[in-house]
Amino acid sequence: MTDEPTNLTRVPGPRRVPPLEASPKTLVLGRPRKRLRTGMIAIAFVFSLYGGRLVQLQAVNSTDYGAAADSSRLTDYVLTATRGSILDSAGNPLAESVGAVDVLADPAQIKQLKQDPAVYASKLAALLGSPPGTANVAALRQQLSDVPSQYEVIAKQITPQVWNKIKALGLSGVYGISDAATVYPQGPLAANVIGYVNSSGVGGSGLEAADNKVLAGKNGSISYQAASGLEIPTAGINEQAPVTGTSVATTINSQIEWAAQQAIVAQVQATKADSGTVVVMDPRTGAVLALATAPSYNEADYATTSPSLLGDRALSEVYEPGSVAKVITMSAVIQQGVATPLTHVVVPGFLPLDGTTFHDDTPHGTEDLTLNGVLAESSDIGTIEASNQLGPNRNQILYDYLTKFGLGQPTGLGLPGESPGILAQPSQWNASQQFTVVYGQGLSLNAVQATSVFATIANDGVRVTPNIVRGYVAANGAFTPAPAAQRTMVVSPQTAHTIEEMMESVVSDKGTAPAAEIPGYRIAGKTGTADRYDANCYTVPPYGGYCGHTASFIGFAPADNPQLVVSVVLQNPTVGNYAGGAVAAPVFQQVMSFALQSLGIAPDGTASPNLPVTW
Amino acid sequence: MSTGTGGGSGNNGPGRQRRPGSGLNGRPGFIVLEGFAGRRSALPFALLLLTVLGAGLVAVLVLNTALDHGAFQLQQAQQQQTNLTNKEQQLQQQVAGRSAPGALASEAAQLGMVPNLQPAFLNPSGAAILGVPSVAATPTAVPTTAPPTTAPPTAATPTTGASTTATPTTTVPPASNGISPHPTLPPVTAEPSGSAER
Repeated sequence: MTDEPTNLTRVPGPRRVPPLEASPKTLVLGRPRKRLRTGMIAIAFVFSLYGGRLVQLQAVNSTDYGAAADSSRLTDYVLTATRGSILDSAGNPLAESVGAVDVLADPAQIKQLKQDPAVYASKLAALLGSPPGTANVAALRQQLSDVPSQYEVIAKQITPQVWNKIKALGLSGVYGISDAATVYPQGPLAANVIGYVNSSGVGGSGLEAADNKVLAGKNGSISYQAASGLEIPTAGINEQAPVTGTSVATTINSQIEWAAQQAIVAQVQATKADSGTVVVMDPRTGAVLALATAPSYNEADYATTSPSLLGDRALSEVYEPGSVAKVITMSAVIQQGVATPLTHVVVPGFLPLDGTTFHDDTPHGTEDLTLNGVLAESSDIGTIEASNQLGPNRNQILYDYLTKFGLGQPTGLGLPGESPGILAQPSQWNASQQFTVVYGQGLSLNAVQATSVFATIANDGVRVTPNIVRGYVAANGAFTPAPAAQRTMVVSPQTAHTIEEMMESVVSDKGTAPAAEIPGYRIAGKTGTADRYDANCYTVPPYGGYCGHTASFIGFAPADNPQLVVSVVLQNPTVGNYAGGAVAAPVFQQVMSFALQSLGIAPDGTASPNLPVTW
Repeated sequence: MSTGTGGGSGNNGPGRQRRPGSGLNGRPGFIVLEGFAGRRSALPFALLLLTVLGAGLVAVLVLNTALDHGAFQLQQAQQQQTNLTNKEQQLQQQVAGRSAPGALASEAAQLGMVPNLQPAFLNPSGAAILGVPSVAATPTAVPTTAPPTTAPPTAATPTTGASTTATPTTTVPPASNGISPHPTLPPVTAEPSGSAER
């Protein structure tokens, strides 16, 4: 500081010039005051710019800049909630959500780092694929060298173990992101009931869709301050833990389901049928123990499966049941007290009524059958004659019984895609329909509804609404039972017992279904062989018409103490005999035998009443 | 600022020194006073400050290191927990896969067992037979269903030839010499070679 004043005083001061050379200019003294002022103004201007900028930063744009600073430091993650499982009747998972990793690659980065995509591909291929090492190396190399791209999905939903091995390879430009996978530990068992979970983690069909809200849980979030991706320890974490989804415990018995699936798949193939379903139900609780359908699919491959296979045929496919509906007619006739199993029925070879002539399936002369014989031999004419005993209100009475047995109404299972079938009001029944409904033509139902009719008879005339969810298991293991199923009395226990005894005649050498017999057990059941309505029956309009048949058998055992109802339906069997007693009854026998053993239900040794079929 | 001048009055305080020959002859004189610092150096205080500062810095460093160490330990423990959870899940899936009805059926078929189409029960108390027992069918060699994909490949399955020789209808009593009629399956290892499914 000492030099400056000297300089200041010297510069403006007069100089000593050599005397010989006179200056041509006049020297003017500088004015420090003016200079200072100018300097001050300049400095003030510069500082005012700073000041203005400060105001802009701190007052005007402060929120934006604050947020920008936060976002560069804060790391936010969604913590995906674990989806609940779907459990079988024993509590073992049929579908469960597990941790998995998607492997991604950045080919541009790989190139920038001067890495060889071929080496990457061979290293990755050794770990990927199922079984490991079967991945397509050429395809991987193609993906990894696809340079303009910065996002290539190398593998989806691999196990964390495999990902750890990939991570250990230390390949720069290869990343993993967490992506929970739904796995099916017992294989594709009851696929049509369980349904699939789509790529966004939402249930797409079956129980996964019906109970998606319960299963999904609630995603959480975590945010913390981080530097170069690592958490700053003292900066604090804001975490909202995810809520794990609730598991749905079903009534599905894996073993019976598997047996039913095996049996129906084999029979659909053997008879070259369009499709088939098996429903197994506990008549006392309405619990569905198995709901098998063929052809089925594998939930893990839902994306490549035809959409027509993804639903549940036992609920979505409605059909005219045929003779199994005679059980409802007989229940009405006996409950109304207009006939008994031993009532004499004269069955002619053909029966003209209201302009339509009715025939039985097999031509015959006039037969002297008991009412029991009409059911055992499945005579349409005999059934019409019995129903005509109901008097002037016949149609309304029949309609009431059909409704009380659950026709035309939702089953109560609550699965997506269900159709309640078609049951017209009696006022709309046409001349022939009023007679065909008594033997199951001119109305339609789904397989679960049909099973429920027989379960009602098996349960002393009390209909229990079918159900498939037994309860919910929270993440902490707490079990909440599902609401109790609704119970309504449809026919009296005496009527139910009488119908049961009549149905035992069906499963005998005198009846239509000796193939359903299981030696030692009392079996009650009914065959159905219906004309099948097909929307694509004809190639010219009207396209719809009756083409092919629906073969079915529904029965329960042990007949005197029913614990299991099994129903088998085959749509359009085309090879060999299409009768229910020929193609559906053997499947019933197989599934029922398995189920009786699986549940340890022994025969009690009582004898069948063996009601007479003729008089 | 270590020195200063002052008047003649009140000059007797400590730290003041008279210069020889001044003020003795009765006329006011200039007295050079030396300040506080003249006797006590500022150095110890500065050192103290430095020490405190240094100690503070070291303490902060140690604290941060400890926190970081804890964070690393926590991270490691969490990583380990994740790995163990994944492993548990994988093993549970294996168990579920092997105990699935399809897998059990194929294992049973490999052992030469056939499904019983005619249920019959023995009542142990009265030795009565409930139901009508029947002779089991001769087993076919291979079951129609493949086990679920989650089931690990059976490492050593008995040959079909061996299983067909033992007719299921003839009950083979447990061999007293310890030789089982069927080869026993190897114990399930925690992580078989083909563990990385899917």
